[in-house]
Amino acid sequence: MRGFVPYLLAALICLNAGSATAAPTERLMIIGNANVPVQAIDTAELTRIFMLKRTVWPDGTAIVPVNREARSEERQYFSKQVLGRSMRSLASYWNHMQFKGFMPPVVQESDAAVAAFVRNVPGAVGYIVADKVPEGVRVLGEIK
Amino acid sequence: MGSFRGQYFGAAAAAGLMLGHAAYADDYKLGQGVRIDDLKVSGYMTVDAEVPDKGKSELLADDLSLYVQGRFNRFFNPFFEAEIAGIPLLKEGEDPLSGKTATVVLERLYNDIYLKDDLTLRIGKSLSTVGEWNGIHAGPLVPTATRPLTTYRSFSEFISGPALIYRPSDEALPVTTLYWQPAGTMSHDLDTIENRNFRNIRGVNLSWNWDLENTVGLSLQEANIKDSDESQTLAGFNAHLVFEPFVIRTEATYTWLHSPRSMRVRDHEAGIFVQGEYNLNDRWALSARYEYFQDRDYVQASKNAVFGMAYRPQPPVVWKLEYLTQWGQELGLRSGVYASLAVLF
Repeated sequence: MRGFVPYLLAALICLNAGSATAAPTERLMIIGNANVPVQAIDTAELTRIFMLKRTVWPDGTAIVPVNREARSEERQYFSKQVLGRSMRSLASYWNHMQFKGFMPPVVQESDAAVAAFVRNVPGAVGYIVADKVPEGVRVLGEIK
Repeated sequence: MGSFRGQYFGAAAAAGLMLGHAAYADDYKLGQGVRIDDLKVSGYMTVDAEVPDKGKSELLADDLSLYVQGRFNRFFNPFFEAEIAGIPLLKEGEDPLSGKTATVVLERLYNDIYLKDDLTLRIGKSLSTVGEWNGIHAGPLVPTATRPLTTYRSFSEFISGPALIYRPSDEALPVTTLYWQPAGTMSHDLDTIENRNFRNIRGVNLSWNWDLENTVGLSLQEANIKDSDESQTLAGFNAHLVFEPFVIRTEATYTWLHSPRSMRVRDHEAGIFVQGEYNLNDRWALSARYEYFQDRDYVQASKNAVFGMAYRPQPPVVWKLEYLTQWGQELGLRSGVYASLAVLF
């Protein structure tokens, strides 16, 4: 029995460590292209951008919102915490808006791809897991 | 047949813009189109099967639509849509792919200028904002395979001219659209009803939207009818209310005819439909609709009821199956079974 305790402790430590890393989306960082003419964005403004109700930055540059792919934890967390809608109703909404002449958010398949896209495309704004600030982008806020 | 010159010009312009801008593209997902730099190419296709109680059964691709939209800056945001309508696939008693000829139409061609964050000036050919259905009429976006008469019969579905669109950030205020078509249309509209070619169209639409899907709208449209002294004034109401899992949709229009032609049976026209939908889950939905339409040219009113189901395996794809029964004056909707597969791409 005594010999079993270290294994049990090790298992508990592993479980605890697992829970610490199993929720990478508890904090998301909002990032924008270095040229975006704002220093910060609150969630209300971010919602307006992703719901396509705000389409240009104050200097006239087109806003290009960037989403993660539908199955990602980040997208699900962002949809729930910021946009407050189910994935399905958002997909339906963007389909309708696309038909009406709006451009739904661009989809990128990883945090690295989002960061690269935002870095390279003027007016782009997206979200990534908040662990390390990528080079060449502007941090516009954080979602907890 | 539509204006081919306009379609080729639009397609060439879109292709030129695409070739000139190829800095980035996102991964393709069904329903999201292809984005190449500041341009996006997308579209939809609907395949309809019609089995009328009286008449020949038919399978046709109606429509195949392609749209290209660009977002460049505050002043240049073009949108182009062309569609091939009525592509015959199979018809009872006829050879496959024979029968009526498919038609190419220029649906929309306009440019948006963002005057302010909440104010857009749109110039070109666009959908007129009467009710909700006309503005989202693509097969994958509407709830049934058959379209209510009230959503297109009494007014011009398109306008060629300027439109001013106010989209306030406050949801309590309505999205307001003012539009004017000073002369004829940029290109012939496929479904134009005889003796209803509209000119000098002007209108306003107020649309209150909340929680993504809920909408209540009011419309007013005035128009002259080509080659006559006749003119008309239309007033409309529409609502789309979601009480999960139920959805209620309704549109109603009343049209006054001024100096009506002698052939007209009455000096007004009126239509209303009420549709209820029940979402069984994320994929399956049932629907039922009743419509009453009193046309300006027929003594008898047209009435129809629809009972249907829809299966949406993913948001851009929907299968629909429904039975429509109609009585009174027949106005383009025949009793029978209708099915469709609609895909956004």
